Amino acid sequence: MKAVFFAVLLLALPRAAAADPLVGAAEDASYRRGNEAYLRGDYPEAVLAYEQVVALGIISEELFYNLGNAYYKQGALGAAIYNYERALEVERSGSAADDARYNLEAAREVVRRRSEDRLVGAETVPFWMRIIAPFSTGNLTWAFLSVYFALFGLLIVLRFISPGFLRVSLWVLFGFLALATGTVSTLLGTRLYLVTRVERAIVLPDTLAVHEGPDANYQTSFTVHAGLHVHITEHDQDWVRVRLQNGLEGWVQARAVGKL
Amino acid sequence: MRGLWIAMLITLASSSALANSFEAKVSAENMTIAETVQLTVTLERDGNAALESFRPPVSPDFDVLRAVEGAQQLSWSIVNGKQTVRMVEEHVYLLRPKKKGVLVIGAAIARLAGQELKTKPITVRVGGVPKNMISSAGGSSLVEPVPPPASMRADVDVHVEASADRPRVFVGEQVNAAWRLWAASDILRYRSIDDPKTDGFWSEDLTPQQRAWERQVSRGREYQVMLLLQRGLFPLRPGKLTVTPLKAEITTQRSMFEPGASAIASSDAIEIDVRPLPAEGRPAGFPATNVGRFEMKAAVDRTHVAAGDAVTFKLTLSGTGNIHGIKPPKLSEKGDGPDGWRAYEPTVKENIERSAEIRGEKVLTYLMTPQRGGHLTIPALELPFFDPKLGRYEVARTGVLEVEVEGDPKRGEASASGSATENVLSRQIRPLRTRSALHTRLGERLFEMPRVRLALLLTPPLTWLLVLIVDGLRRRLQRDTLRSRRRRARASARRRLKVADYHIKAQRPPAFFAECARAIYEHLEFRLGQKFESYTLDELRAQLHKSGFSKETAEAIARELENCDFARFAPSASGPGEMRAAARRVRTLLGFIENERLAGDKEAA
Repeated sequence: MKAVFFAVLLLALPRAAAADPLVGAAEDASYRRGNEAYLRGDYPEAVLAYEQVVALGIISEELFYNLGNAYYKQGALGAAIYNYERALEVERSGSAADDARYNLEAAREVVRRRSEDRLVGAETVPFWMRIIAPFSTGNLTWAFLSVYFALFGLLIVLRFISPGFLRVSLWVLFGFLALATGTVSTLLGTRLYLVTRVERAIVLPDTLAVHEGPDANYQTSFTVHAGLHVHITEHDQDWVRVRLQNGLEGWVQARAVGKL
Repeated sequence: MRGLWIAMLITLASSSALANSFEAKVSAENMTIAETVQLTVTLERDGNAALESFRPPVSPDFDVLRAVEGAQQLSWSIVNGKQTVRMVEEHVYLLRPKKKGVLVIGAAIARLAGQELKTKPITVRVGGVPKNMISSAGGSSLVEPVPPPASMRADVDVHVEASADRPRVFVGEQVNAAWRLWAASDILRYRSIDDPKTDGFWSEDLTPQQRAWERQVSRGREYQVMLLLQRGLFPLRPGKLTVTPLKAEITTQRSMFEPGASAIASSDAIEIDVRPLPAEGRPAGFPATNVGRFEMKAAVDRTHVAAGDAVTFKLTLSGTGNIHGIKPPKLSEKGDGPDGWRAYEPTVKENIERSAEIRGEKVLTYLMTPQRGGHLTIPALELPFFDPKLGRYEVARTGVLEVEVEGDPKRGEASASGSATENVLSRQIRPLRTRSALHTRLGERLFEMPRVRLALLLTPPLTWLLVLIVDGLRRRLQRDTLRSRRRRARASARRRLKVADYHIKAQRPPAFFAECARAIYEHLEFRLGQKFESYTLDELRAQLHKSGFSKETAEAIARELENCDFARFAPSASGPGEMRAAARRVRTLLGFIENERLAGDKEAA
């Protein structure tokens, strides 16, 4: 019984030991300044304050959500959509994610009323992307660490358990944990591949001209609108080559798209 | 009329007239990739019948190096008083295979007096180049690269001439540069080695797609001249700018089917003297690319628009000059659109006519949304440019455009719909989240840090290995063997003798001798497996002797224990010297106890 308790403790230990830390005083002050500016209707100031916190490397669904709201109020729908999407990248469930999903749909609805990009012959999202869509990197990381630590913790416990029913039970538990570790590590690896190797981005300006080459003087191939999902396939100084879901490609300035 | 020959033979024959024949043959059916093959298509027909069409054989696997079309031979005969005319046409092609393998030369087709004639397709086997191959039977050798000529001179027989249509231009003004090939003999092949570099210019290619030879005479010698390359150049900065030479390898023809010789010909560099734009009359911030003669037109797609709808504003720049590089005027100083408008980044379309004088148009299409209702205007725009022909600055202008906006774009969506009594709540975003303190999501980046990732992945298996090792050692130490007992006994004896040394320094004889006696008893217990503290000295002697100790050792042990007992109860008799001597003796005795060979040891061995 003691060994089972020890195993459960091991399972919960990594998440408990490394809970998401509070941000520093400077970041917190900027965040609060952004909130206050938003609440009194000074949206440009709110955007500035939130962006300062983001620039310091803070990753928080609430921060992205609030930043999305500030952009929405400013009328910058592309940037709003981008930040709501970032909030959902961090957390897929819970009230913050629910709020972000609601506001994202509201922003997309406004964009649709203005002008909608209809992609002819768009490819469906690949199966592996759909599989990992419900999971965020953070949650998968903690899940993996939990089962991984527990797996080896159990191995250590088994070293000191004498043969008998308890030992057999713990070996069965070990089998399940190994299976869980394999599954979660596959999901996490796929997720990390998506985040680090597949450069996904969102169009920020309301209307964006996509050029034939990496210079504004090149001819415009087509135009896209705020909130459209694109993939970045190439970089050339401050220009990026983007690919739409139907395979259409062209060059835009890097700052015109937000990388997820 | 090279390659065309007509011979007329008049013969008298007694045979009857022949039917039409159409056949193709090759000079070799087996060849190497480095060789050429001659294909001859022969059409023999009635000279009075009209040849309606002739299609040469087609093969994607061969390059046609040379074609001699339609060499004719006419024969005239009178048979039984009737006159007959026969025509023999020969089409000769020199082919070079593109790849190895079994290659097929397709059929040639001729249409003669409503009748279609076809040759049979021909199969040619093409192999690799054998080592030390010079030539093979049937095909003429064509080895790359063509050996340098013995007789051809690149400066006399063939040369490339570079020229510019004017030596001095303004910054941004077009100057045309051309490179022409002059050849005294027929050119079989031309290959560019170095294209001219036009650093400091914006360059547009003006080379015509169809190139033609012209005959020209230079220094009393007749040449064939072909335009190789032509470029329209727009200087980007003032000063002496240089266009580097064009270098090409040119192969001339020796005979009808054989390449002659090749030579590298290089043109001269072209130097252009570029003058800066005049300062007089130059508008502030004038871009040096706006040089030429331009016009500008502006239009909107509608003049009445509902609030929230967008207007398409089209700005067309047209004229002569560097259309691609021309900088259009800004819609406003702030860059987000004229007053009352919000303009998005324009789409740009260019239509450039690349002729000796580059002209065309650049169309910028802006999507603009009104920011307030009522009467809005798009102000006149000005495009300053420098006209190099007039030598002064000019301005192209558009007119003011007016647009009526119905409604107020700033009115909220909620108030835009619904009646006065009806509280219509359209979709709005949810409010700010300020309930909790801000946390940063550590897990999002944990695996992006290589060291942390490595530490996290290695810690559990390393911990497990450590536990395995430590536990293994612990179990090994706990095993009760002769060696482990000896190790424990030695450790205990060392500990006791060390304590005894402290007692010597502290002048505590009873304690010293007590430690010595315990060390001896413990060692005996380790050696014989039983306790001897309760034995009398005589019993101890007997037992030791019985256990296999020699008489001397047993006596020495008993004596030392007796000495220890005596000293413990008469401490004043033992000074430090006596105690040190006793310590030495005890150490020696412990060695004896450990190393004495006993009967039990022999049985164990």
